[in-house]
Order: sequence, then structure tokens, then C-alpha cells
Amino acid sequence: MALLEVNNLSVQLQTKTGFATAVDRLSFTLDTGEILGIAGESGSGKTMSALTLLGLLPQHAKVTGSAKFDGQELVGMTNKQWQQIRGKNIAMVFQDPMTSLHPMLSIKTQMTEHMITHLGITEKQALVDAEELLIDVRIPDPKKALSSYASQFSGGMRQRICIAMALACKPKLLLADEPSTALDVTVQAGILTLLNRLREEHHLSIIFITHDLGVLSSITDKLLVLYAGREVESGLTSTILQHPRHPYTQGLLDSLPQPDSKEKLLKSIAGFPPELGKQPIGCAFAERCKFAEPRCTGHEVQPTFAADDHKFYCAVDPFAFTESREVGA
Amino acid sequence: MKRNPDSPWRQPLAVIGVTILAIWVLVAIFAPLIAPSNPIAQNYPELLPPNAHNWFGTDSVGRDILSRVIYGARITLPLSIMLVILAMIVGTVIGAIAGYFGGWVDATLMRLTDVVLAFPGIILAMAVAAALGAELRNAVFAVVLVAWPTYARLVRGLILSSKNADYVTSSRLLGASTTRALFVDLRPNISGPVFVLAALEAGNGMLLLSGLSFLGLGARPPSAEWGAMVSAGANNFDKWWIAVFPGLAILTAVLAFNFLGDALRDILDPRTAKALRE
Amino acid sequence: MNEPQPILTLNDVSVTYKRADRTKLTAVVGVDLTLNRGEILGLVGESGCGKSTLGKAAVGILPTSGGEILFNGTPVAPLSRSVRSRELLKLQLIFQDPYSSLNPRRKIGDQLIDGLVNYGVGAEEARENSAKLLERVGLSRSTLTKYTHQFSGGQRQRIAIARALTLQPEVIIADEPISALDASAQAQVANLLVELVQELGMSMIFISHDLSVVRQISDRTAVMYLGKMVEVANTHEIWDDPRHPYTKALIQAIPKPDGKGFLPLELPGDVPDPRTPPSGCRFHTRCPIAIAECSVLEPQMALTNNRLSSCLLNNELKEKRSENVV
Repeated sequence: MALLEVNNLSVQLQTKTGFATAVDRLSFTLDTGEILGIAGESGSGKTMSALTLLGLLPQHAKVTGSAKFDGQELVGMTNKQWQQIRGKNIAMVFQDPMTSLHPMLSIKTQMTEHMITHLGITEKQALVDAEELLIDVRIPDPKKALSSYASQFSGGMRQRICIAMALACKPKLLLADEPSTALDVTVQAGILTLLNRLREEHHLSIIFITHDLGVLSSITDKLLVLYAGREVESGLTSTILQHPRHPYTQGLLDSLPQPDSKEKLLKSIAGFPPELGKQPIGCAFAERCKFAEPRCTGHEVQPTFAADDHKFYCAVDPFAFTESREVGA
Repeated sequence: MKRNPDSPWRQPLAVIGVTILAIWVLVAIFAPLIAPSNPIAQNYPELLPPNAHNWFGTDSVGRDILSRVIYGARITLPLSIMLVILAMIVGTVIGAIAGYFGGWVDATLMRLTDVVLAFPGIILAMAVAAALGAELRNAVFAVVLVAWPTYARLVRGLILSSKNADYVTSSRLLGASTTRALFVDLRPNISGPVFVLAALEAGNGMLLLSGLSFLGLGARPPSAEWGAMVSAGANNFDKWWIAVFPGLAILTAVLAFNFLGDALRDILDPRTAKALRE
Repeated sequence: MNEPQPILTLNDVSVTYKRADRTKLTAVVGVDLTLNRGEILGLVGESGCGKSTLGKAAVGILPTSGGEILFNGTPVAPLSRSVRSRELLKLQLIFQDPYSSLNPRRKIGDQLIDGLVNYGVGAEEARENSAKLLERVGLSRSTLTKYTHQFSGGQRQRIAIARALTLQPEVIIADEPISALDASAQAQVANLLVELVQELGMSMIFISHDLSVVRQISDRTAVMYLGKMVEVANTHEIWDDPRHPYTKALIQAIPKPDGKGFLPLELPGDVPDPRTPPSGCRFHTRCPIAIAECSVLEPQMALTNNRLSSCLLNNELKEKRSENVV
């Protein structure tokens, strides 16, 4: 049985004009020790889907479908039930390590308080565990770090501390929302290495959310590409990146700087994603897609299976016979 | 129901504030037409409770309180507005000089404002008003003297916080002198908050002025100043109507100024102004 | 190829800050750098390496504590109470954050005409010129009468670019112009800058921590570490054959979207505190190939095999490197 099974999960948010669909019938599974990457631009619903798995959606949001974690249905849980899951079994790391740590509390207080309430251990034990966690995420001099404050650390170190805090209750699933976007590449590489090691050593399952396909390529096993709240392509990371079938995935890859190009201009997908609640029926990407045909809109796009574990939603399928990409050899 | 996007009803407090103030202004202008009696004439029996003829009752010397409240609007309102404008000008100039020049100029001016702010406003105003002599003009002067530091601090803070903003630097890179950058780039940032503060402070100024009159340091009898009237009521505690009606006049006017200030704050900021229109 | 003509020259430039706690921080130490006419020069390094400080000093926003900066032969004077000299108006900066570089309380049109009005052009003519610039950066004329809060980050950056262009600058220093923007707007704004530089015959220093963007758009690349320049070369040379170990580390840390699970290499440790920089080579504390001498001797920028870098093992101690590597 998979650790996480998401089936037809939809999230509707209340706006001034009624309910708008932010996540539209999302389905995926995640096994223990697996890393799933969710890719998409801002507004694609990637953060929303993570917040759903933590029960942190804004009030009045409507959630339908199913998300089973370890056999337990998450959709429809009460606040009390969420408190048993959130932080303990499912933890989250946010984008901005500057704001997700409290500036006025010592690292010790922030780490141990959380452990004492959730695990019911003594303060002494919590302190020992906290130190071990900091060693685990490679914080130099963990004893000194515990009595320090957030402002005394660099961005990369803060993100490591955030990860250590997220791991405090030995969660089975870690949600990482753009955890390395705000960091320098050298530091980002360190965070990616760390997450990869945690997966190997602790069999941690991770959902890694970012718009950066390069980052996803380095550590994820599976990819889910979202556009305007809907899945456009999913499958093994290697397959998707080497042979993307949806024009949007292709566009995302093309918009990365091309190392071998003599052209000085970067490629970008023209236009903007549709606004929340204004997704058309059919393919939401059609209006920005150079391969779009009349049949793309007006009715639901059916999934095509390129392989058992590679699915995409494009009626035109312009890349069916394109050769594999060779990027950044 | 579809609402008119520009409808002022999106700001109900503003509407209430403006309505109350408008009523008071009309009352002040048309006082001779509205007032049933001469405000200083002792035409009636003393200390009559409110009745069909004297709606607000009469005071200890037999004057009609309704007429006095109506005529009082002619004294208290214009004076409050005048003193707010004076305090605003003095405070803004001092604050702008302090923030702009910095260094010892700033230090000196700010110590001066600290000194003024260190005294409870009413006490300093009392001292000044008493020293200058109990007269309405002196009371206004005393209130201005107490009120300017708030503006000075606000303006200095605004200038300090935005004098090195990227947009000011970028103006200077485009060849603006510091003075032009300050006047062109910073004026809109300062004027909004200062007007808001002025509207909010108008209520305080009025209270302070009425307070001075209450203490006998402002309006001289028999002039119908609201604060002085409340004071007269304090001598006759069992005759509630003498103090309550002028008190209510002060209360409504102060509230109206505060509502207006809150609304101005939203309207003068382009970000919230847009949200209001949506 | 034509002989490169320098348009902006930095000679031995240092910038020292006085911090709030009265300690001094030298953010830029003895940097030499030349921007040639018509070229795009990428300036990269981790945060805290002094690249933004250098950019701000180059236009005169920050005063230098040593060295000289020449723009078209004119020394770049720091901004003061007096008006910036006419020659220097052709040297402009684009700020990182388009939310702070435009005044939220002034209409965009009023802000755009500032430069020309300062220059003595009439308001009407200046408005017409601004409208054309707005159209060139991809916005409509009606933008003139609006306020900044009505625009997204990418659009604001376009407005800021239009504002910087009002005086027809010859050199643009773009200080992380895309890093505050949404991923989808980044490429568009970077492209706009490249197109404008080519179209209007400008030169640009493009400061960024995103090496892969710099790789694509710049002709030459300069790499800074902890206030010092460590390597300058043509962009393709730097990428194909980085000479300084820091440059190498930066390149190896970039993830590749090849779907092959390449895990980027981390550069362990943090950038040291610039108030107490390491002795000798500033990079030796994190350098994978450092030897004992690196903590003692201070490397200088030097030309070896036609490449400019400041690594003892490339230059001063060349023999040692071959021993080391073998």
C-alpha cells in the first residue's frame, strides 16, 4: 500500500464572486522513501495541494475527493484529528527560512517545545534529540546553535534548522514548498543533498514543490506537472524530462537557459496562466499553446498513456515522435 | 444587488462623519435663524429642566441652552479647525527641517518636541493659557503650542524613512536635486498621513480647547463656548441638562472628526483606495 | 573583431560601510573591472559577495573608500546634495526590487518624466517620450495615469526600466533585475534588457546570482567572492573551462534538468563574515584544493595562459598545482 494515495482531490476557494477551483481532480500516489516533484508556475495550485495535505487551507475552502495517508482519510478530518497528523506524521518546510523561524525565541525553545507537546517526552530528552537532529542536518556546533537565535544564521543554515524542526517528530511525509528557491545555488545544492540523504537514511517520503525543473531533476523519482490547478503530465522524472509529451512541460524546459545556445535571448512561454476560477473547459494551456487546435477546448481532455507510468493530457500530442532531449550534457 | 463602485456608502463611517460635520456647519451658519432665543439673553426662569418651550432647559441665569449650543458651534468649530491648521503648518515645517537636515538641527528640534511632549498636554496648555491671560485667543495659541510636536514627529519619521528609498535614489540618478527629490517624491508620501492626523487631531484640539474653557482659561462668560458651558453645568450637578447637551455637542463633533480621519486614511492611500473602489 | 573600447572603468575600487554598531565593513576590496562599449558583462557571486555594493558604487550611490571609477573618462562622483552632473546622467541603475524603486504615491507618468524635466525638457514633450518608452517595454500609454499598485512585479520592473531609459543612457547597471520577479516574468524581463541593450547600443553590467541566466545573456562574466574579484573572462571560456576553484564550485552547484538525477555539488560552509575575512586567499576556508600557502599568501588577479584569475595555484604557485593535481 502506498503511503499517500490522492484521488480526485479538488479544492475550491471562496472568492468575491463565488467559489473558484484552485486544485482540479488531482490524483497521485507516493510510496515510502519516494520523492515526488510537483512542478508549475505560481498559481498552478501546487502550494494549495500541499496545504490541503496539512489541513491548512483558508476557511471556507471546499475540499472534495480523497487523500489517504497511511490508510487514514485526510479529507473531512476535524481540527483535533489534524493536530494528531500535522507536524507529527506530515511536516512541512516553507520557502522563506527568514520568516518561518521566530526571531525572538531561541532555536532550543522553538525545537523542543514542539517535541515535548507532540511526543510527550521530557525537556531533557527533547534537548538531546534536538542536538541530534541538528547534527543530522549538518549544523556545525549544534550545542551553540541551540542557544542562538534565527538572525545569527545564514539563509542556508536557517533552512537546515527548519528541516531539523520538521523532522523532530519523525514524520513519514515531508512537504517542501520551494525550500531552495530563495537560496544561492551553492547552498541550494547542499539542501538538495541533505534531502536526498534523509530519504535514503530515514526512508522519508518527500513532496517537493518548485517551478525549477533542474532542481526537480536532481532528486525526484516522479513528477507531476500542474497547470492552472490541473495535472497536465505525470510519470517518472527521467521519462518526462527526457521525453516530455505535453507542450507545457516542453515549454517549461525550453524556458530554462540553454547552455549550448548561441542565441542571447531566453525562451519563455508567451502570455499568462488563466486567473483563478477562469479556467476554460478543456485544455487550460490551449490559449498559450502554439500547437493548439479547435478540438483542444470545449470538452474534457482525456489522458493519454505513453507508458504505464507516463500520462499526459494533450489531444494534439505534437511531440509523439520527437527524439529524447539532451539537455546540459 | 449590484453596488455602484464609486458609492461613498462603501465607507459608512466617512458618511456618518461628513454628515455630522455638515449638520454642525449648517447649524453654525444659520444659527440666528434656527436658534429659538438669544444665547446670552436671560429671558427665562432659571434652571428649568427640558420642556416643550426650552427643549434643552435653561441654565443658572435663565438662558436657553438649546440656543447656546447652537451659537456655540460658531465659536468652537472654526477655532478647532483654525488651531489644527496652525499646528499642522508649524509641526510639518519643523519636522521636515529636522528630517531633511539631520545632524544637530534634527537633534535640537527633536529635543524641543520631547520637552513639549513630556508634559501632559492639558497642563502645559493650562500653564501657557494662564500665563497669557484667560482669553479665547490665548487658549487657541496654547493648544497649538501643545499640538504641533505630533505633526513634527510624524513628518520627520516619514522623511527619514523615505529619504533613502530606492525611488528617491533613482530620481537623483536622473538628475533631481535633493530638494526636488524631497519635494516632488516625498510630498505625496507626507501629505496623506498629515491630513489624516489633522482630521484625527481636530477632535483632540477641540477637546483641549473646551477643556481650557471648562477650566475658565478660554472663553469668557457670557460667550457660548461648549467647554465653558459644560463647566457651568459642573457647578449644578443635580441639573444634568446644563452639562449634558453641550457635552453631547462636543462628543458628536469629536467623533465626526475621528470618523473622517479614519476614512481619509483609507482614501488617501492609493492602495486601499483601489480596494475600496473594487 | 573591433578593439574593445572601455566605457566604464573601475580601478582598484574599495567600498567600506560604517555599520550601525560602528564597526567597519569593507564590502568591496580593490576591484578592477572594465565594461566595454556594446557589451553585456555578467557579475556573479553568492549573496554577500559584494556584487550589489560594487554596482551601486559604480553609479555613485555608495561612496568609494579607495580607487577610482571612470565613466567615459569622467570620474563618477558620489551622489550629494547638489545635482548630478550631466555627463553622469548617461549612467543609470536598475534596482532589484521594483516595489521599492517606484513611488507608490505618485502617478507613473509623473515619475517617468522626472529625468527629462530635470534635463530641461518641457513636460508635454517628456510625457510623449515616456509614452513611447512604455510602449517599447511592452506596456500601454494608459500606464502613464496609473499608480504602481495596479501592476505586477514584472510590469513594474518594465516601468522601472523605462524610467531608467528616459535620458538615453549609455551604460545600464542592472542590480539583480529579475531575482525579485515571478519565474515566468524573469525570462521576459531579462530578454527585454538584452533587446534594449542591442537596439539602443548601450552597455550593461548584469548583476545576478543566477549563473545560468548570466551564461545565456552575457558576453563576459566576472566572478566575485567576499568582496574580491576572483575571475573575469569571456562567458563561454568561464563555463567551458573555469580557472578559479570558486567559479568551478558555482558551476557544479547548478542543477541540470536532464532527468538523469544529477545531484548538484554543494560548496560546504558559509561565506565568512566580511568584517573578519580569512587571511591569505579569502576562499581558502571552503576551497577543495587549498594548500597550506593559501592561508598565508594573498593572491592577485593575474593573467596566466591568457586567462585572468586570482588563484595562487594558477599564478603565483603554478608549479604546486601540477604537483597537487597529480
